[in-house]
Amino acid sequence: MATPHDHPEESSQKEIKTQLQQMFKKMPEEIPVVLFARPGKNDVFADAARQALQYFAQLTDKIVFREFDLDHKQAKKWKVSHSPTLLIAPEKYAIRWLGAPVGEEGRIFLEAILYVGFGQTGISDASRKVLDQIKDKRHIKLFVSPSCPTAPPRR
Amino acid sequence: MPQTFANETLIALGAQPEELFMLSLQKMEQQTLFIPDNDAEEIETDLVIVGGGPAGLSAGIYASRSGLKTVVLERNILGGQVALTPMVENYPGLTQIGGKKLVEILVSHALEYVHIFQGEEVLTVSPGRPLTITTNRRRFITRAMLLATGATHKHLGVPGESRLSGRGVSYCTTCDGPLFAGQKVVMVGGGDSAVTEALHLKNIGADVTVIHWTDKLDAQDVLAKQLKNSGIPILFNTVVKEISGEKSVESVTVLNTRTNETKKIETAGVFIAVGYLPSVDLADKIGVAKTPQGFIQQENYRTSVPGIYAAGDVVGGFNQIVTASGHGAEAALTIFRDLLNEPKA
Repeated sequence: MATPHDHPEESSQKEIKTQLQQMFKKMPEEIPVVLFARPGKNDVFADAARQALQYFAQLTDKIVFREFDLDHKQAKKWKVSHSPTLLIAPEKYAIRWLGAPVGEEGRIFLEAILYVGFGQTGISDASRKVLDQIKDKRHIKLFVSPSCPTAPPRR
Repeated sequence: MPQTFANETLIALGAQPEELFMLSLQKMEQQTLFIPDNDAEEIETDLVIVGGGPAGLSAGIYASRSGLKTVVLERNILGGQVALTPMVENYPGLTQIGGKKLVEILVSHALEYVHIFQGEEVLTVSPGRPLTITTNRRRFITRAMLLATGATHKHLGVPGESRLSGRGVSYCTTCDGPLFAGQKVVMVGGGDSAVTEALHLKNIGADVTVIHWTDKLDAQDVLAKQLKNSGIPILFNTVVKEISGEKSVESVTVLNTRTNETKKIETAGVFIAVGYLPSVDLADKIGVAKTPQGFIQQENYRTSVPGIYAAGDVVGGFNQIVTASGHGAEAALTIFRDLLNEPKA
């Protein structure tokens, strides 16, 4: 709750934090998120990714955040060779994020975590019908620039 | 701008709505239109429009905006003749637009208002109020039906015609004529359309020769006189036997049926106007009256069968996108007024 002494921005941040905490609380499952990073390689992005995840992790115990070097056997197991790479629930899903979830993309990353956490995609029945018709594998790669001001939010 | 690859193939450039993205993912190439599927076995509606060309789509927009629950059925490709037109330069407001692109715009606009059932062909129409329409997928119970089934250009059926279609062979001088300014072209046909189009070609600076199979033009006297006065040469008693050219039209081989003499005429373009074939198979099934030329007979878009209307190329006219759209809009408003005056079923 905002007090008369709060700065408007601070109070809105507090509100977001509370909302996030409540949402994470409702998530039925823990979500492991793994960061692979190597010092000296894209440090700015690795730091940004680490900070974003640490922020989410301190809001809830539902996000289990771990970090490994690119040399670690876990990196080999998941075939990770890029620093930084984030894997969301890698035992269950093949979702990886190369780079840092910053800017507009931070929100998308959070959405991805929530979808995984709730085990729901939120996609429409019409989309589901189209997906049902795809019988072979699709390896999807989406390239975005966090600094792109015109890209509308998307899943 | 976001770029999405699937199995290393670019399938989406820029953001796409969710359903469209899924479709791109399925088709493995970028899609621009998503038409939702519908499983319903029976659909009750106010108006069923048959035909997804400019007349049908425009009618759909107008009918729906008037408050009529409207669906559009298209058995084949959406857009009708427009989808086959390489470039459209005479649709007001759009200086130059690819036919396919214009179809996308029309369909996207119509989808804001109506449900489109593509690949759905009308099999039977049971008369009565309401009408019962069965398709290959389901049944529609509707208060009115609009036939906007369009027309197709007649073909000559000679070697080279389909291979060089769009590469010098054209059925539309309004569309493609300007590309041949200053070049030699032939106009095949001797009816009103052929003469009008030959005059149009001459007018835009093409060096045109008319090829006609009998010894007398079929066109109205006024038009025939205009053609004579224009100085356009006419080859009477002449039929096209073959259209030749490697990448585009280079010549036509013609036969004089009187002298039995064959000759080759060098030409960059072959315009064919040997008539339209209105798509009236459904109209025939229903039994609506037709004109002596074979088009659906109508008055203010009302056919001879109550509750059944017709608009666009299937009723004849100028075969233009803008006129078909206009007819579609007018037909929809006529239907709206007629239904206002009748009790709901």
